[in-house]
Amino acid sequence: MLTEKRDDQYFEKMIENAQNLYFDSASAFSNWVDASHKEIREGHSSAAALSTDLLKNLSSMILQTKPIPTLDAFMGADLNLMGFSKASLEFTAAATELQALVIAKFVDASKNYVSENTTENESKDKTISDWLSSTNSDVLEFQQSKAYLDAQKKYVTSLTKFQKSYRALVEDFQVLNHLPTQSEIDDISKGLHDLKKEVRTLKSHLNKRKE
Amino acid sequence: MKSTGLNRAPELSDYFEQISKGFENLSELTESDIQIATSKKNLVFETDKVRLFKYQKLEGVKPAKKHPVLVAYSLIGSYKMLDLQPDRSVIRNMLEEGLDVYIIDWGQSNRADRWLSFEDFILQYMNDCVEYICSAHHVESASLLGICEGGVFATCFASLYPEKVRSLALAVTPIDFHADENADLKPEQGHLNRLLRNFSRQELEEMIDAYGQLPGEVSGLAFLEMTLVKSLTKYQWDAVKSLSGERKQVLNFLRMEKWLVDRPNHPGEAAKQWLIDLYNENQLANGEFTLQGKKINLKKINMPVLNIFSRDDHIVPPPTSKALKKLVSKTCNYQELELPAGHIGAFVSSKANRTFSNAVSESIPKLYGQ
Repeated sequence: MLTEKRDDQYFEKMIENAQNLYFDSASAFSNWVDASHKEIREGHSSAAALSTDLLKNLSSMILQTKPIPTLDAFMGADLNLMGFSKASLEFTAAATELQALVIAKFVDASKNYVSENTTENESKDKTISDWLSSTNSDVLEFQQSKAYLDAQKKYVTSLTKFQKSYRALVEDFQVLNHLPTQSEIDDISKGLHDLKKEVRTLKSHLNKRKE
Repeated sequence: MKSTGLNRAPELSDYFEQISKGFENLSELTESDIQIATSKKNLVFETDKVRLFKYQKLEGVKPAKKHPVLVAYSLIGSYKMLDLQPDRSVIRNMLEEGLDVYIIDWGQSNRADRWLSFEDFILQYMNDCVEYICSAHHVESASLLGICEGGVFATCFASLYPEKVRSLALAVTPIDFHADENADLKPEQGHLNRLLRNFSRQELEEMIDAYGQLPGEVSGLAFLEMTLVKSLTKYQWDAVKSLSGERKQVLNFLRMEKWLVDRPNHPGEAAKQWLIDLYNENQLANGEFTLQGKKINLKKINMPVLNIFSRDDHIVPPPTSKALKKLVSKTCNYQELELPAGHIGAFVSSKANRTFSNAVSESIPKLYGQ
């Protein structure tokens, strides 16, 4: 059994040993950390930069998974909306220009008919038929002019721009709402078309080999 | 200025009476009265959306013992034009001659078919149909009748596979798309050619890409635009007369309208080849048109050729069709027929469609050993 005096000495010794052990370990750990730090700073600066980037990217990824449009995407939709409005105006202007040209020609043709046909026809049907025939000739001749062909071209190209800008706008909405876009469907249908061709070619080769 | 005819207001009561009669006529008609393409036929082969039909022989008609005929219509309209109604049917006329008649229905394409090109239609679908017919009739070659764009398909096919084509008949088919330049044309002719030449390749590509195809409504509008005054008066002035007439006249008008609204979409890639490579750049006549890397050489067409065009055609000016004569082999038996009709009148005008059918039937060679 331990006496009270002997017990006190025993515990003092034990605490002293534990303190020594702790200080030795702490010192060794501190030395290791210092050495590691030094090594990382001096020899692995690129690895440190990489880990910083990874951290940043991780933050961005977490932010982008939120179900709300990010600022950039919203601004993209904004720009597309502006492009759509502009294309819409240009298309309306081109359509109006073309219509104005045609109407002006119809009016001219009617004036020509009235000035050239001073005698009355016996029947109203004949009058209308003559007038339409005369207008038809004038308008057909006008349709060959560069002015008409250019106005038509402007109408078609502005309609193309309008269609494209409308599609861009719709696709923004689809992307933000996780819906398949027309471009993606086009990609799939192209893949399918090419695949069918390949299968057909392979089948044809196989049939020839069988023969 | 003296008083003119224009100052005489139309007699409104007559006009409203006509409208009333028109409504009365319409109320008496049912959908079955305006059926088109009623000649009986059987589906004999299909691939993707393309279907090959064989028309049933008419009772009491002796077989002509001639090569089977494959008819290829354009992608821009429906083949049903050729069989609009029994008394105006090119198909029925050919059946009365005892011919074996097949027709390709290219199907109703949509945006998913935008990648289909001339290569698909000619090297695949048309080739499959010809092979089917040859196999079914135990012959090595069939006779082709190509109409408008279908005529271009048939021409390209005949130049690539002359051994599979016994004879080639073309109707209102443009070959030299620039032959309208400096030609002596009527005012309504050549508009489409001039219009498309005024665009750049990029502009036309972007136009087709914007839709992914050439929608039927767009090509329909383009046709209406070619003759503005006639198109504008058709449904304001002429339609009242057409609908208020005799039952037969009303039915003729409505059947044609039925065909007109059934305008299929044209697949995008094929539309680029049609509008850009051919209309805009005239590659076929220049010997530059290629299909899957193979150049279309029209000199390789060595079988008998019957080229039919319409004098008053405002869509395909006659010089663009007639140009074929100088481009095919001199050894082929080349013949022309000019019809006093328009682009569609060649098939539906009661007189022209009979002349047309007779010429086609005569051009089909007899089977060997007959």
